[in-house]
Amino acid sequence: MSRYVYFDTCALARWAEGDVTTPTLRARHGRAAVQTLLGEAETTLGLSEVTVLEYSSVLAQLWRQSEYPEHDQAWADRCLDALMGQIASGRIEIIPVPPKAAEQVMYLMKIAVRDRQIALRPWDALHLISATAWAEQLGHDVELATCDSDFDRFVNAFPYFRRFVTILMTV
Amino acid sequence: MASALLIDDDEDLRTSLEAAANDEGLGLRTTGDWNEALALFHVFSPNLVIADYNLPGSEHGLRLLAEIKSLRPSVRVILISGVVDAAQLRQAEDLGVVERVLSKGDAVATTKALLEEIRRAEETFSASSDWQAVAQAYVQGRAVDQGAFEELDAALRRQAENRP
Repeated sequence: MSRYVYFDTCALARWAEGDVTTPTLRARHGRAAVQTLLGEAETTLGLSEVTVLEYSSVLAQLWRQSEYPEHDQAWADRCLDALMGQIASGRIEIIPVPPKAAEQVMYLMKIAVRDRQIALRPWDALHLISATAWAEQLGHDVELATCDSDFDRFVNAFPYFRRFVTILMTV
Repeated sequence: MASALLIDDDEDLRTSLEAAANDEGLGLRTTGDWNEALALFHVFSPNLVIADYNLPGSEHGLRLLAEIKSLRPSVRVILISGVVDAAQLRQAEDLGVVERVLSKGDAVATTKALLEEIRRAEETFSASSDWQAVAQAYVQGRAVDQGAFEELDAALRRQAENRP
């Protein structure tokens, strides 16, 4: 059966964090989950340019702030190369962000707080919009791979998104 | 993705517009239900929303369009009705809640006009947001006379409720 998985940044951040000699349990599990998906030949994988930008930002942040000495420039370069390699080989597709997504993000953040008093961050909304558009284009459900429970909270509060996207927790 | 959304419990209109839109490869979603309409709007963020005034089992179309307009002021909204009189439709237009009002008096003309609107929505769907226009729409949206809106909405409700 066909399976389509969209990566949000959190899932890939754990993948990168886990690329050290002695990762945290969370990073080890997160890395294993992404590695498993990468190894599933029948699963189509996607992410958007938002994921790439956020991923680069996470690498830079960990390089600057992490307590792990291994999170250095060589690690950041290696992790970015690893992602770019997956994209270059076509293993991970780049899913376009819909053209007027920013306007949509603005009102999704508004209804999240107005109607359900929950948070939806702009980058998360962009991931959700991109994954939903991909699902609609495919005519097939897309799994949004993440370690961020805010996604689950949002799609439970606004369940019509579940017609297109299911949340796949990677940690 | 859907560039346009039609909300109308008139199945004939939905079917004929869907068929015409499909023939031309236009992205049109349709529903006869208010809640489904809002859900579709949240998910697809169409450029154009067309709503009938009378939506069964729900708030009236004017409120639905006002809600949609408040969420995304740049969206083009059209109110259509077979029961509301032309003067009231014009009043809704003047309030700035909707861009256009259409009477369903002539089904063929209505379908033709709506199809033309959907074509225009499709043409601009892939373009990036025009942020100056978006900002102007936000500012204009804040300037809607809420008192006049409530008055018109109440009058339209009374009128609809008194219909046999």
